Amino acid sequence: MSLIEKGLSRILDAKIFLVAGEEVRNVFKTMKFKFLLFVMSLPILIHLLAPSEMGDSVGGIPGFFQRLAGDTILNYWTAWAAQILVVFLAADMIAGEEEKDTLKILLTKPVRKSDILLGKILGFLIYIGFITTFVLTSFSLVLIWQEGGDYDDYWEISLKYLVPGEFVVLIGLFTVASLSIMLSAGMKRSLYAGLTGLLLVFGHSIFGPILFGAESITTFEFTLAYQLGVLLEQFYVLAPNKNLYEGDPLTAFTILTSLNFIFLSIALFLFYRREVT
Amino acid sequence: MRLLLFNILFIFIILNSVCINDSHSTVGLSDVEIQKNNNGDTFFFEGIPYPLLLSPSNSTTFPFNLKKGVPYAVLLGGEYISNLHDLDLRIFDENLTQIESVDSSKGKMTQIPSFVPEYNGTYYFVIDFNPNGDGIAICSLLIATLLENTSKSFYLGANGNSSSYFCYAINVKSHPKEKMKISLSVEQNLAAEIRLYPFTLVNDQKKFIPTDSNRGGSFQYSKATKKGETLSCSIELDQRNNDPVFDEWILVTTHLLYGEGEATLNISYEEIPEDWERWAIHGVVFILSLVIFLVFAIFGEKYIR
Repeated sequence: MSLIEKGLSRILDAKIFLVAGEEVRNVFKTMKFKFLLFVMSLPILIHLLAPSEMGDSVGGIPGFFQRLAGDTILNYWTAWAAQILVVFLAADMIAGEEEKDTLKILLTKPVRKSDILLGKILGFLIYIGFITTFVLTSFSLVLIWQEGGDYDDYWEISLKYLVPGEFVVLIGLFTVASLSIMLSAGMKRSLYAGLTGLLLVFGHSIFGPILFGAESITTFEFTLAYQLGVLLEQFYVLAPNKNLYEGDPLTAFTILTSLNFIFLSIALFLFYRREVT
Repeated sequence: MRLLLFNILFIFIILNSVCINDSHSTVGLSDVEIQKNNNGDTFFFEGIPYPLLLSPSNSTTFPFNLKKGVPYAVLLGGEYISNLHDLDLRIFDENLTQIESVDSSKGKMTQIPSFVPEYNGTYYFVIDFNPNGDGIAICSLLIATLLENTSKSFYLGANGNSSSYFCYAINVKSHPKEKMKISLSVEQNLAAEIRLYPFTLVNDQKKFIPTDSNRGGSFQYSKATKKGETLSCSIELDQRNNDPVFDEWILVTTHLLYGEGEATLNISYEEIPEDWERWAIHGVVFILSLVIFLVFAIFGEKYIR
């Protein structure tokens, strides 16, 4: 059997979706997930209760949505509050199973280790994708209702701006999560993996600009937040007449996705070598 | 083994960071002597006279002191210029002999992309409102030095008004695959703004507004300094993508925000790599990391113990 045939049969035999389904079912019941959903929904509640802010905004309701949702994506939905929760959710993925002694049971089942990890990652993507879609769609509906928009505004926002916004939130949160998954695969305790993940994520954001002599944290290019801004500005007009985040979106996308692949490869390597006693 | 893996990861992150900061060949800057812009005469030189109201059959004259052999962009424009207006431009030398004339049709913007004086001295720029036109135009003239790579220092704010422009014109088509990098440094007691105005003859709607910012502006890009700050911005002049914003000319103006002092403007160009080069480099990085991941996912379990 050739290497390609072996690979194909390996993919067809995979029980990733089984594990992913189980992971999604389990996570939906946890307090961490409900808390994350609540935290992510807070901007919707705030805009629901706050008075209209649009005024004579450039670009009408879609333009206002781009600026408001863009600001919320970069400063809230992918910022520290969401990052902390995502780091701890992802840190629980492998190390948490071992703490609860359920990893042993999982490994006795006729499922490969790679399927377990990849299934859990897929499950994670599904429920983060669900949260992202829910909050961005609700946010747009609240905004349209509050500012008195019509069906044209709704279709324009839905077709042009929702998917790019979801994509940026997803890639931002998944980058933080893949780092945390890698640590979770290599550490015994989920708390240690979560704290190390936080230290790396926030340490880079805070000490990176100092080490590289940047003028301020917000203008430092080599941070996740800045590169997400570069990506988002490709789809959204964040400020009229100027670019807030100068950079190459193709480079930002390549770096973020390749970083994710490398983190997950290391996670797989550490998980294969993990001995469960 | 874990230490080795983290080292590899660290090197990968560093390489990626270098990739983000991918530097291209920077063209050297030419030195230009410091020019203080602290009196009325030099303010209007390389600048914009206050706009005047013109109606059909009226004309107005702006004298300018120009330097021999220096290429200037001469642009006629104004606020609320519509298709009703028919504005023509004529240039006279100091003997009042007409040396250049542009008769544009109704509503078209008038410009002389490159005017090179033959002597040091005064030239008279006459704006004629053609009798074929209609309405009242608020129009003015802009004389800008055509810029290539430059570094220039000048004084802003001495006149106590907000219209302290320094204007430069850049022909985008002369830099078809380049990125223009602009940086502005200001002294501790000065804050200023860079503004980029696009205009073109192709689209009649694009016009510059040679007045102060209080009248509103049609600039497409602006970035402001704080006191004593250096800011930089870059604009791609890549005509391969038919950029709809900066498609023929860019006016770079420095605009006083508050204070008074010396500002230094640097303009340089970097080559933009070909599209296929960018896609190839990024594609290789992406595919390489994807292959590593797939190999680990599909075959890793069998070989890693």
